Amino acid sequence: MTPDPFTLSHWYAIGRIEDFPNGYKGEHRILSTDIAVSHHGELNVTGPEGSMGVQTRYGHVWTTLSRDPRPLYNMPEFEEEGRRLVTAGAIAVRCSGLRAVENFLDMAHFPFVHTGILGVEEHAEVEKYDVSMGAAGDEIWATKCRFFQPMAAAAAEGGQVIEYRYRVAHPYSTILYKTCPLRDGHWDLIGLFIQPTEEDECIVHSFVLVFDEHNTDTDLLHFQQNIFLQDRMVLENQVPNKLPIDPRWEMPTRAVKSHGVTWSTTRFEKVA
Amino acid sequence: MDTDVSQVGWIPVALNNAVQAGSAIRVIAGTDDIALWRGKDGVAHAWENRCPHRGMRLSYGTVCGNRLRCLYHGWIYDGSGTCVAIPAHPDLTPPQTIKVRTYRCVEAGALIWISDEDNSAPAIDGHWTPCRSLHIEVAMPDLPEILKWTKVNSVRPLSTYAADVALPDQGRLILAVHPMGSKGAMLHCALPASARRDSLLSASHWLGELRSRIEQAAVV
Repeated sequence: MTPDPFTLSHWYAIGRIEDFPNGYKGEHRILSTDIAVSHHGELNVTGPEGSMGVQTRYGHVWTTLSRDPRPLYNMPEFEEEGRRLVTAGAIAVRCSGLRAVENFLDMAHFPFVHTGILGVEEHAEVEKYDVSMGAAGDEIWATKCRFFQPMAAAAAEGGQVIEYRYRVAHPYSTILYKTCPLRDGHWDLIGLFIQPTEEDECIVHSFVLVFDEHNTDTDLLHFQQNIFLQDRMVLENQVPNKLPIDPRWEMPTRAVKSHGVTWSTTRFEKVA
Repeated sequence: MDTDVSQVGWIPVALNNAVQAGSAIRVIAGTDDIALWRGKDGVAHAWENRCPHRGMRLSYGTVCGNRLRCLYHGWIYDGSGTCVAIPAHPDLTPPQTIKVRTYRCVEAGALIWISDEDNSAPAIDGHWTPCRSLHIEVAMPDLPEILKWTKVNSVRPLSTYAADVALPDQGRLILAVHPMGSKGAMLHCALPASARRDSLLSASHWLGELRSRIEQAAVV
């Protein structure tokens, strides 16, 4: 299936900047298309129709199959002093990238999948939250998300009610803004840059951008990897592994529908 | 071979000791992915392996008493497959429409059988004990085809997929085959409940040899 125009119009992360050192040459894949990446003084990405757009931002290398891509969204927090960026590398997952976004936005699974870390069964209730479109109409924000967490971050001590904001900056990119346990009035960022390789396979590149003076990079990495591996077990056992489109489904699906996204989705009716 | 469970009657999907009380396992029957679980009351259930909420395989779920809880969001289903609790919304009574697709599931001859149809389950007399299940890496052969690869004194068919056979050296046993679409098939073997350890070992060995012959024949 050829990707729909909205899916084609975006920039996709293909790895961290340090994964493509000078002299690098390698084959990669986005949206069921082979691409070649090389770095000889400057980064070059080549697809079936020749040279493609490339940029480095947010610690990652981004490319697009579009000749007229939508601009990559802004994350001004990357300019803030005192934050630490830790990337967790590339994790291949055999599911639609949209499934991974859906999972990331979902607080209700915390007590059952991330038991004792992001949730506990005694506090499983998800309270009402607000959903709004971003200023330009192509982003979705879920705000005033509140959830009891026994160990919300590597830097957290003891349980607390954490306030979240979720941002779906594009269909395959999602960022969580989480109350910073160390600095009042600030948000810690955790995000996924998903590289959709096939309709039912993706590579998840993730980052944390936090104020945290106590934990080592390795501590932060282990915390994230622990969470991701728990999610991966779910993501690779959902049937179907493409995202079903159905009115009963929640927030991410509405976003997908309103932009005519069809690639990497499946009609609910076809699920036998 | 694309076997649709809805068209083939009762399929023996496991020996009865493959799923213990309080646990869930995954089985493939034809082209269907199935969660097989047993409540604390010992009753076996066969359900479509997919939570109606987010499609998570229910075979990863937890058996709570006589109910099954999905791993992903903790939704709880009673023995009929009806959702009875949604932890994220504790004050909500789940609509009756949230229901897992279920199969009929019975136990006979130390085997767990499932079906989509209303016809009666295989009648198997006597008491039986589970012996061994083996995977074969070939498309599902018919039971009469399989029996060509071994000497038998007598065969009494129990269903399309199982027969009560008497073997010259082993005596009487139930041999069942269970199609798994592109994933090959399973052979299941049960012995009369009176069988002693040496009979079980001998039948187990015989089943292994039978598998080799079936797979070699498929290669040729």
